Amino acid sequence: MSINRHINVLDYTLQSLLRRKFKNAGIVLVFSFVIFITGSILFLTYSFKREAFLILNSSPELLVQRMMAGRHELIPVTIAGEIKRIPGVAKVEPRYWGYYYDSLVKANYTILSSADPISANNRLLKGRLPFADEHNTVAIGRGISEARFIGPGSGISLQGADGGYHDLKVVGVFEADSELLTSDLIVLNQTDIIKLFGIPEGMATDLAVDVHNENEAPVIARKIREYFPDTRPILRDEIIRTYDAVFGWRSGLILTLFAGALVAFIILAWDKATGLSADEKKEIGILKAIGWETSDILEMKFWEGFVISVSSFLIGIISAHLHVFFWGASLFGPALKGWSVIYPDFRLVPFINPYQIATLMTLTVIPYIASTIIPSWKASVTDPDEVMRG
Amino acid sequence: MTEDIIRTENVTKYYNKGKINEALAVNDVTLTVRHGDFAVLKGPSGSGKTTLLSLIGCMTRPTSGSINVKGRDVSHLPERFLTDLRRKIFGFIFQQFHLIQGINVLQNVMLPLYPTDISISRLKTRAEGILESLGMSKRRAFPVQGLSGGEQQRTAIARALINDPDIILADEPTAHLDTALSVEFMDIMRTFRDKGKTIIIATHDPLVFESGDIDLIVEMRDGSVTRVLRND
Repeated sequence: MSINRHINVLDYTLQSLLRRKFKNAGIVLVFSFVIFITGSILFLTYSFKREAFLILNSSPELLVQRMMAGRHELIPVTIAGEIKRIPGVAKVEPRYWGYYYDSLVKANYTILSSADPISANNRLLKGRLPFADEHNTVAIGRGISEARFIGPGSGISLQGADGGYHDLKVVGVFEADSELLTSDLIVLNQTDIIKLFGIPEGMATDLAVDVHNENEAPVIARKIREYFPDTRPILRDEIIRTYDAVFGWRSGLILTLFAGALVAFIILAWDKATGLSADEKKEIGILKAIGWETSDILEMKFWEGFVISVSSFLIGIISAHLHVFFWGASLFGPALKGWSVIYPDFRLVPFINPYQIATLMTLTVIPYIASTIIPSWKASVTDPDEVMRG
Repeated sequence: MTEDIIRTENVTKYYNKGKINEALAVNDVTLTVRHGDFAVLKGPSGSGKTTLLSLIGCMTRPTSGSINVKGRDVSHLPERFLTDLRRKIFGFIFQQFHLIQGINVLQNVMLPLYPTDISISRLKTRAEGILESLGMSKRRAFPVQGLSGGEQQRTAIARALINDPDIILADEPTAHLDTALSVEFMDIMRTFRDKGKTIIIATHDPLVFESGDIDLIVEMRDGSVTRVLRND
């Protein structure tokens, strides 16, 4: 069969779509909106998870915290030497960090030592981190920079454990493509952080443990727990899983909020699937009577469903992409990224999961095409004179 | 002797056979239409003329009996072959014209040949030629819903002619036309008869069946043929 026949049917289909332009524009609008919402949530959640995964992936396999009556307590650095002797452990480093509430802007900052693993993510940094031997200098997240109106060269005062204020000079600002973990961050020299938080000599916030073989991390964690019953070893995988669960839960929340749009779309598709209008039936009857085959009508309906669903899908998914990766997911970003005074400035690296896109396409485009074809097939297999008699 | 183009033998058609709403539309009809005939199926509403026309035009299959079109028994052909016959042999003019709303005159005329191998440009040229012969050239880009009754009728005729059919079937074509337009319709039909087409019209309009040059009048009532008149 020549290609002309298919071109002709496609030509007629496009004319057919144009003559019901308001109805079809309405369908495209609703369809695109549903894809836009679902696509935005998928993009956002997946990018968060990927971002968190990448950042956490460069952190140590194991963190050891000390617990006292179920709460987190400072850990003696001397334990590090004993942990180091456990077979399979490559390196044990004390970490110094803490949260700081700034009453001026009513926000919590995360303060971290420059020797800690955030330096592995300095791909995110513009400016520089404080040098190891440099005192009273900090690198800050852009959220803090904007909240306090400060930048490189400015100063920031933080109240220390001794009640006095520590004047620190800003030498770098994290102006990252991703600010998921750096927006509220302050990085300063290890000696300065110990002084700021008043951490006693020989103590650290927790211990970072590197292991030779990642698969052995759970075994090493168990041994640490046996040797030091007052500690809590946390596997990196557990942190990643927590992030996954948190973002998964939040995306579920957003989906629930937009369930109305999904239901409207399902009703629309159901309405199409359960029957044709009298005009559509009559038109199929006329086409059959003047010499169109059932397969010609099904081809026309296939193209009709294809053009509407694929164009809606593309409009929706491209809008979702622009919304999430260029306009900071302004519609529902705050709900997904968490509630805080300092929001991460949303310019996520566009991580796209082709499997998710394919699934979304399969779950929307194929049912829509089927819902267009099936009732037409029912009308087109009957005798044309019966269709015309109604 | 002129050859038979259509022959029905003991054709019966039930709708909803075996159901509570079973209806006998055509009852044991035997009929012969010759090549080049100008034939009329005449009878009151509900007499079965439209159903007989549908059966002859391969739009539906008989419950029993046989229908022969151009020497071929079509009564039990699969749908695909019936469609092929409708596309190649018949041109249909319906009671309400049944033009597709929202597209223009030219597109309506081209409609029967869209799902064929013909290129769009050739199809367009052919459709424009037919519209010109019917005096509809100026209206070719006009949406059909804005046409007058006479223009709709001529568009429907043009659509019936796009596949250069051997047989033109018309179901109550003058039912919605005034006298002048009905006369014009009959004049157009005569020109096609003169070109060798076979024309079969189902009607209860005296203006059609009383016009002098009808070759065959088939009178029907309650699904049966009550009288056949042939003017040889």
